[in-house]
Amino acid sequence: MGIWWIDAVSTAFDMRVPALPSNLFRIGVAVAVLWKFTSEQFCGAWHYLDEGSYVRFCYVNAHPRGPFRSVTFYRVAYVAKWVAAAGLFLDIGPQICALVLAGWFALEIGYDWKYHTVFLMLACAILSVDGGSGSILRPDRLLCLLDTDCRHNLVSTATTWVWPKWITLVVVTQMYWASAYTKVRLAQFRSGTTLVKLSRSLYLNRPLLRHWEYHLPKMMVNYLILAPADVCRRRWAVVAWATIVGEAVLPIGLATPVLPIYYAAFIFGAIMHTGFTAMHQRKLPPFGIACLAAYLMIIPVRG
Amino acid sequence: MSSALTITTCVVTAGLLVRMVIAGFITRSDVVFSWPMFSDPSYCYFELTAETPTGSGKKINFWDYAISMDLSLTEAGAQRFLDYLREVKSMHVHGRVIIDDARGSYEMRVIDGYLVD
Repeated sequence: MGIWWIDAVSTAFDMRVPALPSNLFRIGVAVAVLWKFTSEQFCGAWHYLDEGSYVRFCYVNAHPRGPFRSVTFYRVAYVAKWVAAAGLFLDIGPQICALVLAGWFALEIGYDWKYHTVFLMLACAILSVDGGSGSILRPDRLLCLLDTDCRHNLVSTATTWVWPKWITLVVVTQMYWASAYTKVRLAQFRSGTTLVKLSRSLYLNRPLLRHWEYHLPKMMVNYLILAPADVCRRRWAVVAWATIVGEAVLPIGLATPVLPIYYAAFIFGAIMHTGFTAMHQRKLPPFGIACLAAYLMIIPVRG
Repeated sequence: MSSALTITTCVVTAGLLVRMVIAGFITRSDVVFSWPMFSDPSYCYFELTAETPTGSGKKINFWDYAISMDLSLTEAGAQRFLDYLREVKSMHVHGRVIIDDARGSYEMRVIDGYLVD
């Protein structure tokens, strides 16, 4: 098997690849987005930018001319994001829906900047230029998908443009390597101090939070938070280095043309994101799902 | 694929790659492509009380106002929250804020909605 991402460059991206990974990516991103929106809806997202709210105060200070100064615009965009998320999942105008969602996330980071929102924005931007992401997994193809011959024929003939797949690999690689590079330069992170402070902040603030955001298992609290600071730091340092090494190595495994290595990297990435999510169970599942969907998107293929 | 589309794709791709290198490995502080997880962690712990007309203090919980757990709450962020309470809620707030950032852990007093060393 050749290396698809090198073939893509050597053909100046004038290349077709199987469309199934794109379809799985679309479904995964749609599930992640719907999960995120549902979770935020239960936490009062409809009222985030109401007159007199703290979120609005911060937003207007940071963006005096931002579009969300208008509550009406925020509400219209809020409805549009739900429609777009449903459309992306059901394959009703998936490219337009992905573009709307990318636009929403670009605005959302104006009042609630989170790196996983940036990742979802990029994933949606990629889907907006992928014309083949809705060619297989869609409701009107359900009967065909349940029939072995029809499904095999559909999956083996449906193709899409290689560029979205290629740029997904680049975004995933850049995200992990930039993150690992930042972490490895920080003595505080390498020593475990950052994670000690993070976990203690999570532990101390948890009873004060307005909505349920995470649960810290008792064993984790005893072993990694309430133990003496030096002991906690040593224990967290192991996690810190595992994260740095994991983030550095994972993209190499995902980019390899050798399927067993790719699958090993996929499983390793899933375990790593499960670990991240264990720290914050409400906020991080959509990020984990979107990352796994991105891994599926970049599965090795024959060009 | 037409040559115009090929050229556009290659130019856009090259631009994105340059942007990714600059944001991810050089400036490391841009909005997109910088991924600054844990780069400058800062935490604030508020112990605030607002004056009420009856004279009894009302405890203020920052997390009743925030969207969700904030892992990068800086001294500037703490002052912004106090500005909000003073300017929008017209509250007279006193107490203290413990800030834990790259400089270590330190405490600042809050007098009538302002952070004081």
